[in-house]
Order: sequence, then structure tokens, then C-alpha cells
Amino acid sequence: MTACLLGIASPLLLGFLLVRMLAPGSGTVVSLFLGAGLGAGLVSCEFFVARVAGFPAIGLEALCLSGVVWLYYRRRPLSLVNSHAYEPWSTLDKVLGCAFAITAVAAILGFEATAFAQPHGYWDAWAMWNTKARFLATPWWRWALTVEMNRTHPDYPLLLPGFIARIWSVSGGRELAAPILAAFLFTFATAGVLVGSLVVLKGRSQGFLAGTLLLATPFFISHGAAQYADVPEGFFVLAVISLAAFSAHSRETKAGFTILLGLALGLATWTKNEGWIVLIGFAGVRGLLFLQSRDWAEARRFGKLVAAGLAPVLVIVLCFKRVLAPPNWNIEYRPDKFLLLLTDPSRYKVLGSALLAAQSDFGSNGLTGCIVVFVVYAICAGSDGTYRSTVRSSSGTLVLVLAGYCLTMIVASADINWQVSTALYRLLLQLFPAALFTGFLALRPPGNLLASLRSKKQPEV
Amino acid sequence: MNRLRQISHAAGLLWLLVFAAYTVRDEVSNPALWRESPPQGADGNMLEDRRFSDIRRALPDHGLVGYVSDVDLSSAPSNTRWVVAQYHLAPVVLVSQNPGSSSPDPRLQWGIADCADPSAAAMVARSAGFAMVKDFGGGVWLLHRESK
Repeated sequence: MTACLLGIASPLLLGFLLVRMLAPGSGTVVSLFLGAGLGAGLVSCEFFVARVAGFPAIGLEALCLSGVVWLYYRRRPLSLVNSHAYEPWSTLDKVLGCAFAITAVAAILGFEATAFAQPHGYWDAWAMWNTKARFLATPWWRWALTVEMNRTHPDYPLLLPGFIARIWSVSGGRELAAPILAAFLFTFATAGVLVGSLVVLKGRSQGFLAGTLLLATPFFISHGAAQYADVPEGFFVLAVISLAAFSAHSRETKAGFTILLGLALGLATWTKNEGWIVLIGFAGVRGLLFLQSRDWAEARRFGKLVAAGLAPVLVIVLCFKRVLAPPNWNIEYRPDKFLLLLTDPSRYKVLGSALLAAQSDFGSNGLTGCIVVFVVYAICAGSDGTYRSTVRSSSGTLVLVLAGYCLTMIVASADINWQVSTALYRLLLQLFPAALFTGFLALRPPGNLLASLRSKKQPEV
Repeated sequence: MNRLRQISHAAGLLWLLVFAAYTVRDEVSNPALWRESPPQGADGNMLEDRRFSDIRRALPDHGLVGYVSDVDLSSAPSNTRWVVAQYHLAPVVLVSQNPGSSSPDPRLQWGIADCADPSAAAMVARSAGFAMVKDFGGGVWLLHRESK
């Protein structure tokens, strides 16, 4: 366990310094948690490149880390994007902070209980991600990408297996603690980014409320502990959406946030194939916004900065997809069959009824579903319109990505009932943290609600 | 903010906190948290770890290894059986061999038998062109290609 902890120390440091250097306006909490996920993704890429090139991963990692440390100490000190995190704690902040802390402790206990009961994780974890990690940790990793391994989906991207194999390369063993630690890191880093971003942009109460709802959703915690890649994918979708919000409202480090946004987009494609839909959805909405504003200079500047973060990871993913991995067996490549699937109304009916059911079932804790909780809270709180354009572009991206997910299920060659029963809720889980961020960004924060309720209305003189 | 909006906002907060409290109650009453049940392996019991750890040492470091079983390899439960074995035996690649196959794969010099009924191992190994080498218990055998 100690050796595995040592294995994640340098990714944490690398990610923290990178975010601190490029986007100091996001605050320490965001730098810590966003850096944890980005660092894990980066070392996974480095590990894979080193494996392909045939040299020790530790050399490439040391080079990256020293480069980031050198740049970090040359940076200018900058202030936060918004001043909410500097405001004094109100009574309600303290109450909601306590509620969040209790929920977080319960979530950690729940995670630990699942990890103890199922140390190998659930089906996808040991059938795909951890099996691939066991290959990647050896010099014979290429065998994982052969057609004989078709049942383990050899075309799936390798962020999670690469990160786990990287921890094993430091620890020297094949401990079950490595995939558990990786799962823990992404699960709670997602909560950290959600809370930290909203605290800076919208105030403490709003951050704590969003974090409480996320960690009180049993489906999120159980899937994190199950070591599935949907939670890391959700982390990167949240990173993209929150960095886009920071980028839109930052005066000093817009460029830094945009580069990190590109990096998060790239890492989303290195985590799961769905990352491509996130990339297309994000690019589609941005393109529409630039078409509307006709600000081509800004579009070029934005595109260049996103590409600076995205391109290095995308090159790795494309090399993996085009050169090393066999084709995906779940995609229908024959145009006539593809058209038949696309125009089959029964497939839309199955998916439509599952989506309707998900509105009340998704993330249920036995009392009610988390979507119901959010919708009721949203009706009670109302919106305040402070981040209207950001909320519009974020929700547009999420809707487009969800439509893309639905389309892939419609045209997949596998049985639609099987697709829906095994994948739909996990796909929704990938968008859930980012949807919570967008939702709470739009809603009116409680502010000093307790004080206002306690004060009696003074008669007018 | 008018009074009605404040009251409805407070009610919304309460509603969200009740949801969280309900989850917290469930999390802390989880039997696994209090170690009331033992940990489970990939297929439901930790025995798999031991069953495959010994044979892993006897197999080649990497490459293709034949996999035979007495259960139908095309059905879902036996698919799980292969996946569990593959998970434990990586980085060797297990290639399913159908018993009675007319042309055994010449690439497969070594193999394993993973049988639900241990007494069926000899029969399925022979019908896939393998000779029994060593019994690792629990229906798991090390196999080698039979010389003609």
C-alpha cells in the first residue's frame, strides 16, 4: 500500500504544479483536485509512450516533472477568478460545510466498504481495465491488443490501465491497492473539482450543496468503488465544463485555463471512446457560438490554445487507435445495416422509455432519484442569471453529448435492450458531475438565507 | 429576495439535506462496512486468486495458451469463466479451444483446463489435442500439446 501511495505522489505533484502554474485563479482546492486527475492522465500517457518507445517511463516522467517545477517557480502570482472564496464564512456556509463533511465521510466509508467487499472491482474493472493494466505492467503489453483478446475490447483507450500499470511499475508488484487507489483518486477528485470550482465562482454554500448532492448519490460512489472508467470520464467532462467557465470569466489567465481545457478534452478521449463525442460536442457548441458572435480573431486564438493542450494527447490516442488497436466490434461498418439500425423505430422506443425512467430512477438512494432532488431544489431556489452565457454553452454541450451517446446506442450492432440495461445509466453518470456544476452555476446561491429568514420585516416609516 | 422565495429556498435546502441524510444512514449501515461478510474475488469468491496463482508460475511468461473447459464456451456463464481466468493469468493470452476440434491450433504448445467438474478435465483436454501435465486443484490442470 505504501509503495502504491508513492506511485501516485509524482502524478499528484505534476498535476498540482501544472494547474497552479497555468491557472492559479482557480484556487488551491481546484488546483489540488483538478491537478490530481490531470496528473494521473498525463503519467498514463507518458507511461504508454515509454512502453511503445521501449524506454523506462520514469525518465520521461522525471523530465516532465522537472520542466513543470522550473516553469512553476518562474510564474507570476495572480488573484482568483472571483472573490467569493475570500468572503467571510456565514452561518449557512458553516451548516452546509458540516453537511458536506458528514456526507463526504459517509461516502469515503461507503467506498471503503465496497472496495473491501469487492477488491477486484466489478465486471468491467476486472474483465477489461485491470486485465489490460496487468498486460501493460509487463514488457509483453502488446498481447492485450490482439484479436484473441476481443472479449476485453482491445480498442478501448488506456488512461486507466496505463495509470494502474504505472503505479505497479513503481511498487514492483501487482497489488489490488493500485486500482482501488486510482478509483478513489478519480471519485473524490471529481467532488473536489465540483466543490472547489463552485466555491470560487458562486460562493461556499453553492459549492457545498453541489458536493453534498454528488456524494449523496449512491450510484456515483458505488461505480467509483467498482473501479469503472465512467467516473474518470465524468471527471474529465467536469474538468472541461468547469475550465470553460473559468476561462470565460478569467481576466488574467484565460490562456492557461484554455490550454488545460484542451488537455482535459484530450484525456477524455484517452479514458473512453465516449471522449470523442465530448470533443465533438464541445467543438460543435463553441463553433456555433463563434459563428453567432463572428469574432474570428477570438475563435482563432481560442482554437490555438485548445489545440496546445489537446494535440499532444490526441496524437497518442490516434496512434493507438490507427496503428496498435484492432477495430471496435460494436460498430456497424456496413452502410445498409447502419441505415437499418438508424431508422428502426423500435430502438428509439426502447431508448426513449429508458430515458424517461431514468429521470426518476437515476442515482436513487431508495428515497428518490438525484435528478428529482435537483429539479425540486432548482424550482425552490430559482436562477439568478449571473453566468447566463456560460450556463447556456455548458448545457448546450452536455445536451449535444447526451444526444451523441444516444445515437451511438441506436446505431451499435449489439441488442438495444442489452445496450440500454448495461450502459445507459453509466453514460448518464459520465455527464452527472458536469450537469450538477452547470445546474448549480445557474441557480441562486443561498447567500445569507438564515439571517434573512431570522430578521423580521421592519415597518416602513 | 422576497419572503416567499426565501421560504421556498429554505424548503429546497431542507429537501436536499434529507436526501443526503438518507444516503448517509444507508452508507453507515452497510454490512460490508462492519466486515459482516468476507471479501469476494472477481467471480464471487477469493478462491480464484489461489486457484490461478500456482498455475501462473508454471505457464510461459507471455504468448498464447490454449484454454479448454467442460462448459459451453459460447454461453454467458462460461464466458465469465474464461474472463476470470484471463484476468488472473495475464499477460498470457488464453485462446478458447473447442473440444473435438478437428485441427488443433499449432501455436498453442501449452494449455490449461478449467473445469466445473474436475473429473471431466482429462476428457476435454484429450479431445482438444492436449496431454495432462499437472493438477492444480479445483478443476484447473496444466496441459501440453500431445506429440503425435
